[in-house]
Amino acid sequence: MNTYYAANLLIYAGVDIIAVLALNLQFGVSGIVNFSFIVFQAAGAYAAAVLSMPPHTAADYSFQVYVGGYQLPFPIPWIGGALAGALLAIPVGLVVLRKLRSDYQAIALLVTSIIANTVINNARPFLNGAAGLALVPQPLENQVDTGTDNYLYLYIGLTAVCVGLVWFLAARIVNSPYGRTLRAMREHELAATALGKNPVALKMTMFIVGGALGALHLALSRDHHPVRRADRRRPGQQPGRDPGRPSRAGRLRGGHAAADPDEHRPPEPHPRARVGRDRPVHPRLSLVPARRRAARAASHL
Amino acid sequence: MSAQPERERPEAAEGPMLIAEDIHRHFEGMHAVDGVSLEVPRGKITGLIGPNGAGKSTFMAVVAGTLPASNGRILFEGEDITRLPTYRRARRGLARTFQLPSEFARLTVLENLLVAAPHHRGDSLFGALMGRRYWVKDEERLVDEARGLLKRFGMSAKESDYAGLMSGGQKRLIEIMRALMLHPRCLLLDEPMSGVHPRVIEQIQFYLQSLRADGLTILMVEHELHLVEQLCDSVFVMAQGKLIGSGTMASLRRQREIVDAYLVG
Repeated sequence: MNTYYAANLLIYAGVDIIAVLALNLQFGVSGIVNFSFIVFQAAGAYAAAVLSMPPHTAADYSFQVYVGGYQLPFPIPWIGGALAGALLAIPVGLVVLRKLRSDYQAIALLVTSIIANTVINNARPFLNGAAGLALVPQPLENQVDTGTDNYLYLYIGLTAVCVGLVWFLAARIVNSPYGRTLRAMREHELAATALGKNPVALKMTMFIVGGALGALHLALSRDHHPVRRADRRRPGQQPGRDPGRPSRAGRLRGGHAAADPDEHRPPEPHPRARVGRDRPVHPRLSLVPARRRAARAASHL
Repeated sequence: MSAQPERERPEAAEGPMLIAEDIHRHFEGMHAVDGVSLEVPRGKITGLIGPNGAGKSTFMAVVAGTLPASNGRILFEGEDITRLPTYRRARRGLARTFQLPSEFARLTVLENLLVAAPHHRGDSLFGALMGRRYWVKDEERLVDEARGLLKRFGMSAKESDYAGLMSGGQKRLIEIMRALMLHPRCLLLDEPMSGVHPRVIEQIQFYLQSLRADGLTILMVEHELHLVEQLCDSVFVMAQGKLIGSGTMASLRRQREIVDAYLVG
């Protein structure tokens, strides 16, 4: 039992370290107050999901609607998730970072976040709306039994590799003359500009890098990929497994629920999903409290 | 992005370093700068004086590109830089200091100087990701240069201290040194002696004279008229957004309207 708690903590610590490093590059080093960070995380999660899932017309997936569905092998969905965050950062950054003063940038980014939340929750044909995406394949699920300890260890290893890479990248940036320039911009943007530094280019670069790392964070997060699924495996997915039997990984998730029972209450099925189907994947973009979301979902049934 | 050099352009050795033609800067209905035209000669220290609210700092901001001109034209070494953003003007060799201290408070004194250095391979995302080996030679060269400046300005002992912890005068010196790290051709100083201890004022005065001897062009806003008299080769006087006179301080003192507008006392 303790193994699962420890694994859970390690994986969450790992993915959260990635988010912290991304935020540190943006806010701590560059002084960008990015209230839309969650949007980039969501972009990573959704992009990784649609890259790894089959088309929504496929058998067992027809209860939901989404764009894409490419069934790409691991690690392409993670890389694609990070790229999605980076690409999304370009238009957002061009709109917000060029003309606005830093306090207005913060306001605009907050509004961007709210707009993205509204669009994602209401444009159902895009990414299945407020219900989110379900049945997202886990990394390497065809190679390793996802309900075993070995899969947990593998996931810890993958997380550690990602953390190591991101740490290395962040350290190189922060400890370089470029990092010094970023800190100077954070301290006094006008003075840095008067010394020949282009603040828009500096901010855009860090916005894109931070967006990519934020996206990687949530693409990696177990909320959307790994063991969360093991206790709700769909029937027939892996012969010999009883879909109703809680797995070790499911208990792991239960351990997490102990800390936050509202967030991890038993899954509410998607309105169009058959009873007993997997819980929808949702990147927690919604500002609606989990309890109210659950009530809404129940009212659809 | 890195501060890539943009100053490899033909040297216009003759003529003024900086020309401002009919510069206007309006804030809504208020004319902060109202048709100012002046020329800053090469290798000289030129003063810009006037009462508070005359538009001197606004004019400096327009020349540096911090504020866009509402109208008019700015030529730097013969090139029209009116539409260039501040950072591109700086890369062409037009450096400025600010009326209020603008040090990078949570960077050390040495780092403050190094930030300004152009031609640094590590000052780009690519360079940073390439690692220390890629840029260490540039860093060593620039650290030597920055230490040379710190020594010249008598601040070697402070190189590892945070700039935000320095005194007002030391912050002024940091700003000047930082601007010098940019290898400017023209330095815009906005009240460099303001709030500075008299002993440090003497130091700054000495350094400015030595910079002039090195051939640097300086345009300086200053309220301390005796310093302007000692330092500046020529002086422009502004009042209510307009240029009301120019010449040496001695000649300006003989012009009644200028004395009335500003020089009384």
